[in-house]
Amino acid sequence: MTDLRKGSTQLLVLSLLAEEPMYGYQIAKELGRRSEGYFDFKEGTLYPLLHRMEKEGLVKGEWQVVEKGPSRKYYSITPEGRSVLEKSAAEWTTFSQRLLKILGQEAEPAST
Amino acid sequence: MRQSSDTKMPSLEEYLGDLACQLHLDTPTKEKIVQEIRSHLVESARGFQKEGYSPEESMALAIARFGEAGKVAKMMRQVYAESANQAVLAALLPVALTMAFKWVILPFLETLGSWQGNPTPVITVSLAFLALLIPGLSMRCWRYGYAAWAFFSLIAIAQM
Repeated sequence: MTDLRKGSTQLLVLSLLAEEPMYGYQIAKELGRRSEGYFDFKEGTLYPLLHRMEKEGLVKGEWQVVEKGPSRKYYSITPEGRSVLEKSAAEWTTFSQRLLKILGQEAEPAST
Repeated sequence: MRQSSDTKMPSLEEYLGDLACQLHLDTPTKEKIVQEIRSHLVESARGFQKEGYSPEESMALAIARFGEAGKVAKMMRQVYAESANQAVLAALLPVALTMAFKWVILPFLETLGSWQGNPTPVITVSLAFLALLIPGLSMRCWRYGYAAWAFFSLIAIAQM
């Protein structure tokens, strides 16, 4: 289960950034809040992921000066990132639906 | 929810210094990463302070939540290792072209009888200069690019 959670982190981050640009700490807090602690991870692991996604062109980082405190690097999703998000979300939806079906639980029919 | 720990947690500067030492990246990239992580830890500690922790406890908790400096640095190195590999390849390319010129194009020209000059010094210098520019201009990992440039250029010069 841990591997599944790890594998889904990129999808979760992209889905948050699809809503609005965010900085690292904000992303970590928001993931923890929305998942009620289920997607709990060492916050330091978020930055290698963000930098890798930035290098791959999925997100774009931009520094912004903050009045009180150090500057923040805001990440926003790129068109390529949105495309990856849509594809990954569809894959995960299909995966979870098929899994639930095998487990004998209620699930909506898979779209693909 | 207060945590007690027997092991002494590093201060913010100690933690960032430890992280920076283990990044092994070029200075501008390293500084940006450290700046970003500093911003995170300061804000995280501020959050713990609002919950009633002392400034020292808050920073210790923020660092504990962030993770070990060595592990974060290792993951960051892996992200940028690809750039280092590309820099090495970028440095190799012009040298490979030099060798291709010597072994393929030059013999072909001599076969045609249209050119019998000795281009070695000019070609070596110009292509070495080109090789010097490519990793520096196109890659973030300058030190790897230039190290590779020096290595492959020596090989190329030895082959001329």
